[in-house]
Amino acid sequence: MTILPQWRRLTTIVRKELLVLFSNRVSRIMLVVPPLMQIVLFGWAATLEVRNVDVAVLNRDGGALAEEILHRLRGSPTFRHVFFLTSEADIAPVIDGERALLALVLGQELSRRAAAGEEAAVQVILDGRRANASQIAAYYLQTILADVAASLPRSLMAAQGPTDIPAVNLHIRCWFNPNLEFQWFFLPNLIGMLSFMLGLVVTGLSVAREREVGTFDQLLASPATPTEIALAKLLPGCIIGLVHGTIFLLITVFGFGVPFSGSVLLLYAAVFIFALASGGVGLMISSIAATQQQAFLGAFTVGVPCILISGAVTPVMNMPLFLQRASELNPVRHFTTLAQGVFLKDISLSAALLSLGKIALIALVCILVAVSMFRRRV
Amino acid sequence: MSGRLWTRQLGALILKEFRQIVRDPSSYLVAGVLPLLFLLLFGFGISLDPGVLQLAVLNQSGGVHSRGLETAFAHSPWFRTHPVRHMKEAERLMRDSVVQGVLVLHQDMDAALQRGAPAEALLVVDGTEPNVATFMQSYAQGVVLRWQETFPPGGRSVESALRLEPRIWYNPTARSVFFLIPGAITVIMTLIGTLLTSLVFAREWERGTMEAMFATPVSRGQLLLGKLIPYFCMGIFSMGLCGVAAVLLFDVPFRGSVGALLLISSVFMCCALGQGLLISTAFRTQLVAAEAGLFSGFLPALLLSGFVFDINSMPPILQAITRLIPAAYFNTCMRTIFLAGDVWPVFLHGIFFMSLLAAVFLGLTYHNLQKRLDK
Amino acid sequence: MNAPVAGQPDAAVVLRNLGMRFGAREALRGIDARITPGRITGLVGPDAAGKTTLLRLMAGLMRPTSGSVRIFGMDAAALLAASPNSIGYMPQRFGLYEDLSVRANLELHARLRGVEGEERAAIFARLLAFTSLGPFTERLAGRLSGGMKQKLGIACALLGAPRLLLLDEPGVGVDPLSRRELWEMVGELSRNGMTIVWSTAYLDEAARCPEILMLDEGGLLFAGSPQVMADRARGRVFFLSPKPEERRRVLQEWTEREGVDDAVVQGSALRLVLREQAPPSLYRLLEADGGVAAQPRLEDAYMSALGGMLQTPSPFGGMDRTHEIDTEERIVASGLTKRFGTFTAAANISFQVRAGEIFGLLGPNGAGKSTTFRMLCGLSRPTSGQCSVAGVDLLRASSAARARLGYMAQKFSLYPELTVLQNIHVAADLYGVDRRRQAERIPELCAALGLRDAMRQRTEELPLGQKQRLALLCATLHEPPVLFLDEPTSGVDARTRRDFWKHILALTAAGTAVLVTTHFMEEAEYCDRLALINNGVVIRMGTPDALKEECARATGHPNPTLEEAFIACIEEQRNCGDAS
Repeated sequence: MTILPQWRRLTTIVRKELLVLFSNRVSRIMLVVPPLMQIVLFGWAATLEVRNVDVAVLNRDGGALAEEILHRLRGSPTFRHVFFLTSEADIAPVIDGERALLALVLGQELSRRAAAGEEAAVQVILDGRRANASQIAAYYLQTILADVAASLPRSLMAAQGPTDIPAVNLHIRCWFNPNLEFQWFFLPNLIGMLSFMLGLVVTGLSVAREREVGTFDQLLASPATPTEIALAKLLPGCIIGLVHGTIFLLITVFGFGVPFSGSVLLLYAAVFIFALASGGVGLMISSIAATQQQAFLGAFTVGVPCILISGAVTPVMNMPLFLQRASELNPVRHFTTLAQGVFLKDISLSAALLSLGKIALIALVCILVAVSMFRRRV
Repeated sequence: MSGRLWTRQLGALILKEFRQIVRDPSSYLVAGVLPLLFLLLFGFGISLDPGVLQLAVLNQSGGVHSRGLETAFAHSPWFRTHPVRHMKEAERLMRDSVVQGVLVLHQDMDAALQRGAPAEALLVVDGTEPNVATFMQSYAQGVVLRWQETFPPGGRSVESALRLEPRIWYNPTARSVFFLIPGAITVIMTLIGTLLTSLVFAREWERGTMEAMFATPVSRGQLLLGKLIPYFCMGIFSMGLCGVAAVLLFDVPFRGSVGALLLISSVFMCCALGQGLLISTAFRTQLVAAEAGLFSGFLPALLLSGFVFDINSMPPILQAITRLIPAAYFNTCMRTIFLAGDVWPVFLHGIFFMSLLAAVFLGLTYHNLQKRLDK
Repeated sequence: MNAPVAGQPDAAVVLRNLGMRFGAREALRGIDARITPGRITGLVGPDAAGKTTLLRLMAGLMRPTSGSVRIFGMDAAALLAASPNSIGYMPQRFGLYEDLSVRANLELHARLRGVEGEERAAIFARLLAFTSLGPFTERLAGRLSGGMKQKLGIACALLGAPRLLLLDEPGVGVDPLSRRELWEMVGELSRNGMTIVWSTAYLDEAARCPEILMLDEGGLLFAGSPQVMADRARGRVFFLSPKPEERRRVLQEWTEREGVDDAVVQGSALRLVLREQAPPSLYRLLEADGGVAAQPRLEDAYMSALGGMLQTPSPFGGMDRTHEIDTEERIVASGLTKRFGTFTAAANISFQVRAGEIFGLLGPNGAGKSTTFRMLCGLSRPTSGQCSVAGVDLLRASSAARARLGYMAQKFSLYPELTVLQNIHVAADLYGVDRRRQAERIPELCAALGLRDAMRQRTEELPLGQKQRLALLCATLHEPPVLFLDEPTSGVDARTRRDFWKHILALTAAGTAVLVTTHFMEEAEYCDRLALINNGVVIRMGTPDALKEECARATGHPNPTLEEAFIACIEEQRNCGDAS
């Protein structure tokens, strides 16, 4: 026999875990379909771009300038419906009832003032309940107004006064994501979020389930040591994590067209070590939990905060300092940094290794803690 | 069966459930600790506000004017500047996410300004986080414009002929916390509703207590209500906790009425609990039930409810899917009741669809309950 | 508890051509029977015979596919709609809320049954006194011992003062002392006029019922008095008294002999049941061996009715197991002690088990035998003391020691989602059985244990008996010198039990040392030596016969059963405890 008995026991339990996971049709489907559906659905849904905006317009002006603005508004892809109000009093119900994201008020004197070269103001009322979307919509509106203004006859511009003031022309260029596609940002993060939850639940609940069925005692009474059992419980989650990671990667790159500028090898190393870390956290939960329900609750209590403060939804740097510090302990945060770096930025090796090292360290600590808990419970 | 006996039996079931809840330490976790913890995390952890942006400045000119512009950036509350010597260095900082943008002031800037000619400057923005990138662009433009007002002394700003005067209703300072917190409450309530209930029936079947209950004179409807009402009360309790925390900790205004809040939350809780109960009757193993709860409850509430990502901007198919997600209706109602006040058209729309969904969930649960026994 | 109703029909329950099918499986077919009011009727049969289905039908939990169930002259559903409290039902595993107190469980059922106010207070007082649960009203149901849970389950079922009480296997997992109390309780109920149906896999329990219904594979095998049933075996039951050292060999011979329906150890003797068509030569052979005719028991007739025990020789018999172990002492426990906080679950327990010996751990629920057992198979670390298995110290080289033991857990802990073959492979690989040996042994053992046709079936779909054999196979595939069995036949019927012990005896004949915990006295009879554990200490150790003799001396009872000896020992210790 050349195979070490420890190794054989380990692979036996791993194989058994995988068999159990895939034996049942429902659990097979649950392992495959939802994650795939999630990445497609959420990848598609997640956007901070604003589209399909409905605008209510109170047109008191009726002049050519107002018509020009409305014309451009209708032509813009951002705005969907443009409808008219007849009085100031109509604004409140329209905004309150969420029938329009913004209400545009074109004042009586608008066309005249603009023609006379005087300052002309357009009022817009934004829905603060969706402040982010409405502000972005207002930003688009501003661009439209600037265009309209620029198209006004030169004479008008001249009437504004001397333009010999030296100015700084600020040219803006976006690196890594030139069109600021939100999905380029979100999909790599989604890989981390989904793998993490999956690893947590799969690893976290498997021990508790064996405890409930009574097979855990059977395992402990076999020559397999607690360390071997712990490691064997860890690996199936990692394997599933890797498989999912691969599928997610393919969907992200080929399905959504997110560019992949970094090294595949680096990403795989990250996915694997991250899967170990997710499994490690799951194992830690399951070494404490006595029942599946407790394990489930534990997975949520740990999983949700980890995702929230990972920077996968909104940036870490906007969080208060204590949360930024706390997020250093969060494997999802480091994976997010890595995934974005590898996908979009071709991150430098040293920075990548730093993040990778942090994930590895977290994984190691979790696994060590979990193994020692396992041994203590015996 | 007389009505009095019916209510008494229901009362007994509810009392039993409450006793179990009180005994179970995890229920305190779910109803008390989790909502607050999550609310804090959502409140502090998720923000669509710009925050302080890290900006590398490569000043190739080095004259009075360019340094003035650099100082203008450094003094702006939005930016923290990092002077760099080479573009290479700036690039590295960008790649490693130390800075989110690089301002390049070209060599001839001071000379040009001295001549009275327009000068060129380049802002390179890290596009990986589009939201941040958008903020970076508009704030940088703002800083440059304001700096121009002071330069040269006596100069005036170049004004657009058409000026936009935005006024943000309900949330004049446009703080994202104000609209994120009501959304976070939605996510938390969904989580609690599904978490609390997704395993309860499975557990009773496993322990054989369900059979004992069926052998007593109680009906399926009573059993269902006996589960629903206690968890409903717990959910409303957590709701109250979240609402108070939102107002006290995050200063979110509450402009609606408590009565309306109670009504809307009640309908929503029926939905969330119905969903959880349906899961617990539909799946045999707890592992699968747990995953189903995760994927059908929590993640959609987080991503498809309009909490972070605006529903109107989604593709039409996804918009149609959000119509089946109770959290989407609840989210709209919550934002309205906190920030705008009692807007009944919005509420009634939400309540109508949530009631419909609740009826479907609970109806299916009732159906499953009956089927289980004949197996 | 409630007086018989005037004008009660002469049958409490009438089953007419009752059939029940679940998809393709026919759980019950063509049952015609009557249950006499005011009596205890035993519902007997092997696993998956349809006992639980029949009880559920009577409780109105299901509608029959064909035929009818009429209770007190009404259709079951109609009766439940009219007066739901007339039937009390206790499901298997008692159906208690373990995280609620005794009182809360009772209150729940009282309210659901509409028992309120003073009536409730009165009935509580009566039930608590009746079940002697009075001192434990505030204790959580989950913290009660098996026997007390059982009583609480019955108390809950009794709350509506039912006329018909249905109990599904109330005797499983309960120690003999509690079982006797339970029986007395139910006897009193029936004397007060209640009709009781008691389902059981144990024939000694059924034999005490005035009437029985015997089911097999969904059909009714017998209905009537157990004595009538037992009499069917009259003239075919014999005792043999071989020399102690030859007992197992003789047992094995008779087990495999054509024309024998049953062969079982009973105290120092063997009990044999011959087939109805047994040739006269067999009777002569029996006489030559010194066979004495014996009074027939229900179990004898039951074994005959089911076609006798399985006579295929055990595949474990032909094994030559020359374990290279230098010590004869295969299990050594010395001074084993386990404390949980201030509570001592096991104190200073010492014994040795030799090769080929069966050693039994007996004791009431919660006495510490499980704790002792768990320490010995490496599932729990002793607070102090030593233990070794097959010459290897469990504390120092635990993995190596565990490799030498086979462990069969109480609930036959198999992976329910996996197929039979997958379960076997997991066990084989885990214990490092090499592939060639696996390829050779697995088909052979599966064939001999009747698992060949079920190889690709999911384990959760197997009947209990097959699960038990599969668990045994998994525990012995690596041919361990030591085998640990934790209540191995709990809830399993007599025929399956017989088969199981055949295999165990074959294993010990080949030199395996067996440690077994059990509640079941018939099982304890198979043991060479027993240790009786109570309150965490060994109170008696010796052969079954020695224990019985000691009991006879102490109580003056002439010929006590092992169960009586057990109860006497425990009670004696309790009295001593009370005195001090």
